[in-house]
Amino acid sequence: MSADILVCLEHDGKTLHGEMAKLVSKASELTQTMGGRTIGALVGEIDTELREEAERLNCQEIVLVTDPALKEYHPELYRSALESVIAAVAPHVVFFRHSYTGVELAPALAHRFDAPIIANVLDVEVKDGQINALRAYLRELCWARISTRGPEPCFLTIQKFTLQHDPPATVAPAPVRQLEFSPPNQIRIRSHGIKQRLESVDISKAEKIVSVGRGIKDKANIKFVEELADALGASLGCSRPIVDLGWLPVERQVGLSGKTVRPKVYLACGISGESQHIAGMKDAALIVAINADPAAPIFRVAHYGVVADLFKFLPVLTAAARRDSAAKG
Amino acid sequence: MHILVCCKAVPFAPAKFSVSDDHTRIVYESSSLVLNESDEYALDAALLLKKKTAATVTVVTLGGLSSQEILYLSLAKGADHAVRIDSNASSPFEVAALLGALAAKKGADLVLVGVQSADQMASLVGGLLAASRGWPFVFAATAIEAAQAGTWVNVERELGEGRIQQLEVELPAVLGMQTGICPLTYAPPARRIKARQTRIEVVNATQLGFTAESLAACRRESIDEIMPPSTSRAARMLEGSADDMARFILDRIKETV
Repeated sequence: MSADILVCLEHDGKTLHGEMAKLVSKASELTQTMGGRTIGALVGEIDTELREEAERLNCQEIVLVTDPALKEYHPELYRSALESVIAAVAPHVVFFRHSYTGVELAPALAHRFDAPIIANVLDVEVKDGQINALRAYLRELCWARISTRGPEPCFLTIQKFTLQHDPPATVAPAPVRQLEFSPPNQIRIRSHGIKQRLESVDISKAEKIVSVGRGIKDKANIKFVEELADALGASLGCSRPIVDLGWLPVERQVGLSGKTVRPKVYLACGISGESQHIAGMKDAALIVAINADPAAPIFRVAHYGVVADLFKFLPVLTAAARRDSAAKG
Repeated sequence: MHILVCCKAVPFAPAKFSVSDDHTRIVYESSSLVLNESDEYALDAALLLKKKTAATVTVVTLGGLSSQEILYLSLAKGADHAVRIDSNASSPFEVAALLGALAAKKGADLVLVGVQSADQMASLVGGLLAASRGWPFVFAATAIEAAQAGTWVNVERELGEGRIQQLEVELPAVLGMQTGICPLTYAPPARRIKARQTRIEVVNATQLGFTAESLAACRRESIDEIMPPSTSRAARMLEGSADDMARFILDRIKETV
């Protein structure tokens, strides 16, 4: 039985995804106790910069598959490349990020290796070589510990917000093993390219964000939050349901399917705090949550919480902010 | 084109959680089951495609009699046929195996699932279903268009951080449909009452080629323990008058910026 963990390194062709260092760090913590190695899988058309970034991640080895055919993400080609890496490494555990591509690739690979998979994982432990994962159920009202059985490796897609493992400052570059890319025999998906959605505002650079969720109840009530944002000199953000309802445009959406933001101040108004949203804002320096429901998961990541009727509390906060800015002149 | 839409009945507001005696699922004390939100978008996407291409839409759910309510709703919204797989399977592997067998039996060209169920939150069934049949799978699809005489579909999908990918996918295929991709249709009460007269086809695991043992062998995980969510990073909850709380928040903002 292997004691190695393979981390599938997600990137956009230029840089690694920001969570990769934390995934590698968590994997290293586990492999140290198991006596195994942490190995990074890097698949794409990989240039020197991206390769060097991966080498500095604190993996014991990087397994590289680089080919012009892998320049852009393609479900079948990336799956095929990762399959060859997993077969070559034969790890005990495979980490994916619980992202669009992670959720697309990991089940197919788990099926291919007839292996277990646990998705949307918040934390993971290894007890006597057995994987034990923590994950949430039912709109995050309940958590459960899951154990797996079946052949190696165990696939995990990891939700980012509970993993707080900071990587060491400097490490020696990891050795790189390169595998040849052999495309799958049958191609049933053709890609016509990846584009960035055109946007008129960019909230990802904002210093202060006032964000609104489903708790606002009606499109007409968005003005309560707009006025607060205006009084604080903040940008207006929102959670996915507000975009789905057509109340605000998609460029204002914070979360896994929207923007990842890292403002100094994040005010969450009527946002319950599902993991997709948390993933996009948890790194704000100051998070204040205002919600009518005291059990809302947002209170688990906020620094300060107010349980209140939004329509009563927001006007008070807005008025106080206006008085402050008037006093400042 | 025959479209199969997989819809899940999920508890609306559960009061209590427990683990089943065999550690295979979480049991909720909840009076009402509702149609899972992202599955409703999958259904509406199928109904849009039906209008454009004269496709047939079959909706399937898996569960006991109480889950049948969402099938009546789906029929009222415009689905042509409804099937319930009578099973209490809850492992994504088991559910995917049963749905995959049904998709093959019905000769489905396109299988749609929602991106995530509100109760399990795993997003695994679509990918596992596709893998079990050897069909292509695309997650987080936002638009579908029939192409090439019904043998391929054009798909637009999200990749996160505002990135959009255009794909052509050969049928049969499985798509995980994103939420918010189209306005949800409303089923008026009269149509919902009429839909209740439609026969729901009920099939069991045996009819789909599984024995209790072969189905259980698909399962790869067990639930050891459930607990309330950790409050280790809980917010400091503010109390007092609205004015005091507002003052406190503004002071913290001033310190931080």
